Amino acid sequence: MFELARLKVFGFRGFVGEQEFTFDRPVTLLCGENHRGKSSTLNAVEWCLFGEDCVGKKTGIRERIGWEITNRYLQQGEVSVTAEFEGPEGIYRVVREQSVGRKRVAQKVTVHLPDGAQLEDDDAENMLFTLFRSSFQDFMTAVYQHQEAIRAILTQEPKERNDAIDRLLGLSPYREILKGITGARLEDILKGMEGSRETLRKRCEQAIRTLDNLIKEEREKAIAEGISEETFTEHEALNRAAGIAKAIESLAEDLGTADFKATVPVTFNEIAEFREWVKIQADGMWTQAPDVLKQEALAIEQQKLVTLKGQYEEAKGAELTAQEERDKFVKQFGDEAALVKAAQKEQQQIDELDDKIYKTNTRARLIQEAVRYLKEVVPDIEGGRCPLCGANAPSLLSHLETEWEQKVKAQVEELEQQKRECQSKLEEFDSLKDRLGLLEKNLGKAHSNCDDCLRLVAQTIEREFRKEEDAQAILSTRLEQIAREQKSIGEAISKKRTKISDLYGNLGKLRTIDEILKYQQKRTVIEHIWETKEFLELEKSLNEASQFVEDVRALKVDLAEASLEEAESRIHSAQQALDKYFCAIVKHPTIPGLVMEVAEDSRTGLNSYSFKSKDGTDPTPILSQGDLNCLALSLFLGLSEATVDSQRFAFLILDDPTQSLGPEMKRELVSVLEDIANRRKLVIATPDLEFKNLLTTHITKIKAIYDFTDWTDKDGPQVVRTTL
Amino acid sequence: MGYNEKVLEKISDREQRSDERMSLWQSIIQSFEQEGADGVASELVGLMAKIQEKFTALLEKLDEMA
Amino acid sequence: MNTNTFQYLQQIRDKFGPGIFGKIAQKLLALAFYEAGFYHIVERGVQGVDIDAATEDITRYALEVKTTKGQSVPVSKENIGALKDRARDGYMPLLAVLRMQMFEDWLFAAVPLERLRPGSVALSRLRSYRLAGLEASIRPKFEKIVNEHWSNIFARGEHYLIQVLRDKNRA
Repeated sequence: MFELARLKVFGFRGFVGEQEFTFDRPVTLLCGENHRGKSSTLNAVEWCLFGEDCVGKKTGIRERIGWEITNRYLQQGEVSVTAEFEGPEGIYRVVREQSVGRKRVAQKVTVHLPDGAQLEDDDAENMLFTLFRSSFQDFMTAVYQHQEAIRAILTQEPKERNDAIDRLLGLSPYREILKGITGARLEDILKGMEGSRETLRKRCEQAIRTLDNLIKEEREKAIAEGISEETFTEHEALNRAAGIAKAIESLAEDLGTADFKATVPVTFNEIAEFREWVKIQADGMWTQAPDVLKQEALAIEQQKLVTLKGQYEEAKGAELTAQEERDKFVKQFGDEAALVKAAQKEQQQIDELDDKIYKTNTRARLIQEAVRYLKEVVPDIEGGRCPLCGANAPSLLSHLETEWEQKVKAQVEELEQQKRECQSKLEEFDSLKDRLGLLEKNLGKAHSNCDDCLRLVAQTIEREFRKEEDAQAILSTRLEQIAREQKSIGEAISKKRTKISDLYGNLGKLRTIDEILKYQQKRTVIEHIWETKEFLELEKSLNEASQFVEDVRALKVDLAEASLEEAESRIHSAQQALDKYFCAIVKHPTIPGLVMEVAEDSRTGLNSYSFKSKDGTDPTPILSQGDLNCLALSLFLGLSEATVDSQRFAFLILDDPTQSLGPEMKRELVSVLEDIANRRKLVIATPDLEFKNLLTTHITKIKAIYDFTDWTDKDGPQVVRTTL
Repeated sequence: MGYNEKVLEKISDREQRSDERMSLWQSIIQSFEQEGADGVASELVGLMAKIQEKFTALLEKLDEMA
Repeated sequence: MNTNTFQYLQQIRDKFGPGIFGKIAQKLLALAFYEAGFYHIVERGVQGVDIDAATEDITRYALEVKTTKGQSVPVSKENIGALKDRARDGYMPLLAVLRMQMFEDWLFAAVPLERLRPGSVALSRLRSYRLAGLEASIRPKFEKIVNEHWSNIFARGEHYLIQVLRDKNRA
C-alpha cells in the first residue's frame, strides 16, 4: 500500500512558484475560498501519476478539454510536480516535468525508487503502472472524488446523469468510444452509398424503358414502311448499305460524275456515317448534273420570260387604251389648234360685248344723272319745262325714268348675259385643252413604258428589235422553244430521278433499321452495365462498406456488453457500501435503502442507470440535489471500499464533497469520514467553512490544515499550514 | 481488466472476423486515446471514406456508361 | 438478372399479388437449386424454414426466402427460430432475398443468428454476409427456370409449380 507523503508543485495550473505540501497526518484538509488553488493541488497529484491520461476529451470530464497544465504567468523554466509515496520498501518519488514556452510540449517523467534506482520516460511510466496497478479511470473511481463528478450527477437530465455515473464507475472510456462510434454515423454513410447505387439503377431502368418504347415505335414505323422484322439485324443493315453503295455508283454514272466510287461500310458502327456520306454525295451529284443544271436554267429563263411577256402585254394594252382615249377626244372636241382657235373667237366676242356694254353704260349714266338732277335740283320740274333749254317738256322726269327702266337697263342686261355665255364657252375650251394635255401626257407615258419593256425583252433574249418586229410574238416563240427543250430534258432525267428517289427511299429505310439497331445496342450496353468489371467492383466496395459497418456494429455490441458487465460488476461489489453510506448520510424517512441497477440502452448501447428504494418504489422523483450528491459520494465511497483489497493507494482524496448538502447531511458525512479515516488517510479540499469546522471538531484523528488564504497572478496561492 | 482487454476478450470470443475486428479495435482505441470520442468518429469516418472514394469513382464511370 | 426475366417475374407478381408471388419465387428458387445440382430439396409451404437444400458433399443450406420491392425485409421471431433449428441440425442458415427491381437479383446472406433481431433488416446490412459463390451458381439457374416456366405459371399460378416440384421430388 502506498501513502501519499509529500507533494511539491512548481508552475502547475494555479501555482506560479514552488509550493510544498506534506501529508504526514491521517487527515489533511485544504481549505479556502474557491479559485485559491485547492483543486490545482489535488490535480497535481493526478497529473504527476497519470500525465496525459488525465487530460482531454478521453477523460470524459468536460472541464479537462483544453485543460491548461502550465501556469499562464510562468515565463520560463519547467512545470514540475513531485509526489512522494511511502511504500513497503520506503519512499518512491515521482517527478513529472513539462517544458514551458516551446511549441512542442515535451514531457518527462522520472521515478526514483527507494533503492536509489532512477527510471525515466517509458520505463518510468511502466514502473508507475507496476507499482500502483491503477489507470487514471481506476484512480478517479476509487481514490480521487472529483468535484466535477459531483456536479454532473446533480443534473435532472437522465442522459447527463448516466454519463456522470459511468464516470464515477470509471466507465467513461466505454461511453466515450460508444459515443464516438455512434457519432461517426456510418449507417447513414452506407445508406447514402446504397442511395447512389439505387439512383444509378433507377436511371438505367428508366433508360431501358425509354429505349424499349423507342424501339417499339421505330419497329412499327419500319413495318409500316414495308421493312420486314427479319431485316432488323446488323448483317442485313450492312447488306442494305452495300446495295445503296452500288445504287449511288450507278447514279453517278448516269449523271456523268466521273470515277465515282462508294466505300461500303464493313462494320455496323460505320453505317451512320455512310448514310450521311451517301446523302451528301447524291445531293451534290444531282445538283451538279448537266441535265439538271440545264433544266434549272430553262426553268429560270422560262420564269423570267413569262414575267416579261406579261409586263410587255400589260404595257402594250395601256398604250392602246391611252391612244384610243386621246383619239376619241380629238374626234369629239378637235385637236389643240381647233380648241385654241375657238377660244380666241369667243374672246373676241367678249371684247366686243364689253365695248357695247361700255357704250350703253355711258348713256345710262347720263340718264341716271339727269333723273337725279331733276329730282334734287329742280323741284318744280313737274311744271313741265326743261331746266336746260326751257322747252316745254311736260313729262320729262317720267319720260327719263321710263327710258331708263325700259330701254337702257334691258339692253345692258342682255349684253351682260351674252358676255357671260361667251365667258362660259371660253372656260370650256380651256378645260378641254387641259384634258387634251393630260391625255397626251398619258399616251406619252404609255409609249415610254412600252419602249422600256421592249428594251428589257431585248436584253433578256439578247437581240435587237427592228421596228417592224412583234416582240410579243418573238417572246411566245421563245417560250414555246423552252417548253420543248424542257420536255426533252425532263424525259432524259426522269429515269435518273427515279433512281435517286429510290436511293433516298433506301437510305430512309437503312436509317430506320440503323436507329432500331442503335437503340438495341444502347439497351444491351445498359443491360450489361450490371455485368461489367466496374459494377462488380462497385458491388464489392459496397459489400466492403457494409462489412465495415457490420464490424463496427459488432464492436459496438461488444463494447456495450463489456461496459454493461463492468457496470454490473462494480455496482454489485459496491452495492452494500453504497446502501450503507447513502442511508447513513441521507437518513431519508421514506427510503429504507437504495438499490442501483443498470441496463443497456438498446439504441445507443450506453449504460442506463436506475435506482430503486428497497421497498420497491422509485425514489428518483423525491431525490433532492443534496440526496443526489450523497448518492454520488456513496457510490464513490462504496466503490472505494469495494476495491480496498486490490487498491494500492492507501488514501482517499475528496474535492468539495459537500455541494448542495444540508447541515445534517454534512454532519453525517463527517461521521462517515471519521470511520473511513480509521482505515485510510484522507485528503479533503473544501471551501465550506461549516464543513471545515465539523471536520476539525468531529474528526478525532490528527489533522494538518492548509489554509489557502489568497491567490495572486504573480505568486499563486498563499498557503498557511497548521496542525491540530 | 481495462476496457481494452475486456473488449479484446469479447472480440476473440466471437468466431467471425476476430482478426479484422481486433485490428479495427486497435485503430479505435488509438484514436480515442489521442482525441477522445471525436477522434473515434473521425477515424471511422476516415476508414469509411477510403471505401467511399473507390465507390464514388466507380459510380462515376458507371454513370458515364449509362 | 436479365431484364426479360425480371419482366416475366414482374408480370407474375402483378397478376397474383405480392403474397402469392413470394410463394412462387420460393418454389422457383427451389427448382433453381435442383438445377444447380442440389439433390435434396425440401420446399415448405407452411412451417419451418422455406427451403432446405443439400448437395452430396457436406454443403447443406436452410433458406428463409424473402421478396421485397424496397431496401429491407422483415424478419420475424419465427423465422429466426426456424433458422436456428436448422442450424442445430447442421444446416447453414441463410436469408435468401429477392429484391423485385430491374437489375437486382437473389442475395444469399449467412447472417450470424445471434446478431439477428426480429424486425426490419436492411439489405445493405445483409451485403456483408453474402455468399458470392452460391449467388453466382444459383442466379443463372434461376433465370433459366423462370424462362422455362413463366408462361405456365402465368396461366396456372402456384399450383403448376407445386406439381413441377412434386414431379422433381419423385424423380
